[in-house]
Amino acid sequence: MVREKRLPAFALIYTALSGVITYFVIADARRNDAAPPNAVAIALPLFFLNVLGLVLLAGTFVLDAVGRERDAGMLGVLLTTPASNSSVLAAKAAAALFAYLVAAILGLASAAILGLALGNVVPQAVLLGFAGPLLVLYVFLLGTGLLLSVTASSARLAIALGMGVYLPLFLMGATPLFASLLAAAPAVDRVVQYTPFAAANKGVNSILSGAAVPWAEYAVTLGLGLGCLALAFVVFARQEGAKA
Amino acid sequence: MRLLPLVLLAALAAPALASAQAPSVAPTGGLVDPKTLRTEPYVDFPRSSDDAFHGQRPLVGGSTNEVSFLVGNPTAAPVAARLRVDVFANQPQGGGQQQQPPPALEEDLALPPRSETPVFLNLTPDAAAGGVQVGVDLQGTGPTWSGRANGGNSYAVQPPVSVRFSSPAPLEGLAPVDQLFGGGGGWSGPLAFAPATQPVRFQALAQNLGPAAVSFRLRLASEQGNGQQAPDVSVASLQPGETRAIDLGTIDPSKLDPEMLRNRGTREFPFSIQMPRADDKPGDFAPTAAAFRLVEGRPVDLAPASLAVGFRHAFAADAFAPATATLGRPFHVEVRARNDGSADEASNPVVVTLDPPYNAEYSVQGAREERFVVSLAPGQESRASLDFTPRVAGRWSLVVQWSSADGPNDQATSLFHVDVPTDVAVQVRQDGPARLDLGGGTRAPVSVTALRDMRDATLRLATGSRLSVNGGGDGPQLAVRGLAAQVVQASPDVLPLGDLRAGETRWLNVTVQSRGTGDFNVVPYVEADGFAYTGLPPDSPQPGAAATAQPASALEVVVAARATPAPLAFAPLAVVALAALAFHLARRKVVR
Repeated sequence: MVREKRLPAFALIYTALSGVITYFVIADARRNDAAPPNAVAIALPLFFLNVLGLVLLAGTFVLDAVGRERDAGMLGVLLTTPASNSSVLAAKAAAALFAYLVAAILGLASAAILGLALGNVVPQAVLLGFAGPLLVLYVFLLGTGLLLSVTASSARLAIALGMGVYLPLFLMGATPLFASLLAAAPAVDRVVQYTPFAAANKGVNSILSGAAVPWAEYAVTLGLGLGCLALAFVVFARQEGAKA
Repeated sequence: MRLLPLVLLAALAAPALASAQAPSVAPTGGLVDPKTLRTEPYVDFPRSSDDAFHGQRPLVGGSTNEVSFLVGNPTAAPVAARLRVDVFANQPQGGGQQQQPPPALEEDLALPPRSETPVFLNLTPDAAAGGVQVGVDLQGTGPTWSGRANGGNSYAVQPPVSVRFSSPAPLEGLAPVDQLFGGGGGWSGPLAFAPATQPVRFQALAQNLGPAAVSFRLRLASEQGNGQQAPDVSVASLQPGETRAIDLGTIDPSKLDPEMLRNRGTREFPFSIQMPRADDKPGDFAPTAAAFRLVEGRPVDLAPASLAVGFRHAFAADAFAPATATLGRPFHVEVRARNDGSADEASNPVVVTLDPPYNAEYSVQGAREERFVVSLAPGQESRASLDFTPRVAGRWSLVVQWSSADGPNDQATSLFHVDVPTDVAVQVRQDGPARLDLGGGTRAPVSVTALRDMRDATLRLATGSRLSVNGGGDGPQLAVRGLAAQVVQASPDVLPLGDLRAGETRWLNVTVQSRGTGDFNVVPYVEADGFAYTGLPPDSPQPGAAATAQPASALEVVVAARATPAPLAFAPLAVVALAALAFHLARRKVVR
């Protein structure tokens, strides 16, 4: 971990981006004293920032977790240590969860600054977001990311595949970009509602506006994430066991 | 408050003003509006009755027209005063004024403390009169007040011709528009739609309700934008009882506003038919013509000859619903989408939300959303419908959101409203929105009056954010629960009222505490028999008319942001940068 430079780089990029957003929101609130912004409505752009942050986190710490070691020739060295195959993968998963914790702390720090200006309901919304829908989403990103990392022949391929999966899912599930297309195909739309980013979107809505908690969508997303995680362990054990 | 009977007949023999008779005065009482801050007796011609005419309600010549004014005494002592009313008739063709001897009304009044006494006056102007002015003089005659107060109003006189728009055809059954996406709203008069891309021809129907043939002029005028007018149209010899269709000319929507064709959705522009006098030139002020019926020689249902036209752009959706609905009974909403553009519109999502009063969630009911998908060829219209049973009395909002094929960000929202008559009158004593600092609180006295007997009533408070169309991709924040409903917290949360008799009033102090910024409503409502009863909001004024001072039915709270230096936003970045630097230095030291 001490050699790891990507975590500070991620933290710098994330806090810079959230700092810019926070700056403009505070400046806008000071300018429009007569019509102050709705504190809860402000939590929505923070949610999008945090989702993008999680995708970036997955691209940085999960998708290349095994491939990077493999590309650098370090995987063989790691497997010669007394640590078991599953321990190596578990350590990668733990590092990714640690990165999530760091992202949550940084997200809360920015929200706390915003809360000074707009009220403590903002950090409350962000905290609940990281504890609920964003965590569910991250489990999916972690599971699929590790599986791709294990199965792809290189780290670059894993990242490319991962982004190729995550970005369409993000655009379909968490933005209105495909609303017209999906409206024309209700069956597809129903399926999209169960995709991870749509589930996270619904989860945030349930926190902010009291909509029903999307338990079924959460279950599907968690199931996908945990299933992929388990599969990653099985595939990794078979791959590296066969080589040994 | 005691009654003050006063009836006085005044016969006027002037040629231009046939008579001014049968005034009646009776105090109705009530607290004087504290916002006026008046300390002495006064004479007021309230504009509320003239609002539809922008304060220029016409009198119908040859008919008996009732006009009224208020004599107010804001002091705590009874006041004796002498009231004198003079009526002046403007001669036609700019012939000046003629004072009518004797005064139309001269009477001693005893004004009760803190009262407003309406005075009614019957005027029968000659159809050829240019106008009528009423002057009121109030002179104190007792020991408590010896001052003087004046007031007056002028009235246009129109021939006994009822005028109304016939084309574009006013729509029946369209719920009043609160706000259209492109602009406009708050219009309670008739509304029609027309494409924004081509000139619109306007027509009117004029009916002579008088006993003699009349000739007059009509003028079509836009009341918004650049005030475009069509040339005057002369109507010659309209015979008694005759109804004639009159072509008023065409208006090019793109000339009303240069932004017209670049906009999306529907943009509303009000038009009126004016009735210029013979000596008026184009561009001069002319009174708005009126549509009315004559019942026993009196004009009734007087309404301005006005029409709002919603100019539709490529694709727009509108909700057709009754203006009023009954609590607990279903009403029908029809959503009509139309493609007035030149290209196909495919798979456009249309979302209709029935949003409860004051955009708040109630214990008995919340918002209901319906989604439709609409594909239309140019010139086509589609209709979809839904039935809804309101369980909350008050003003419901019909929120129509749609996206068109122009792109993912081409989203629009229009607001309509449906009033569900309530059995509770709620009054919040509040002079404008309460402005709170973040974390601060406020208290406001609230009165709740039952308008019928109610059993086991409970008073509750709901909070909601102010509903507005932001024009952005996310649309308005509709009635919600969750954190959004907790940004302001109001107490007492629940207050059992027990059985209420009709007319019984309960007072309470509402305390509001803020946890976040924004513009919010705190809504006191009564729950009884499985229904929730809110107070109806004061009616929105017509465009260009003065707002009337009516008590609010909900407490509006604006929570301001705390003054925070914006550069503080980068504090986490600074901390992370320092930590990264320290980390880097430590790594160099440790790893080597």
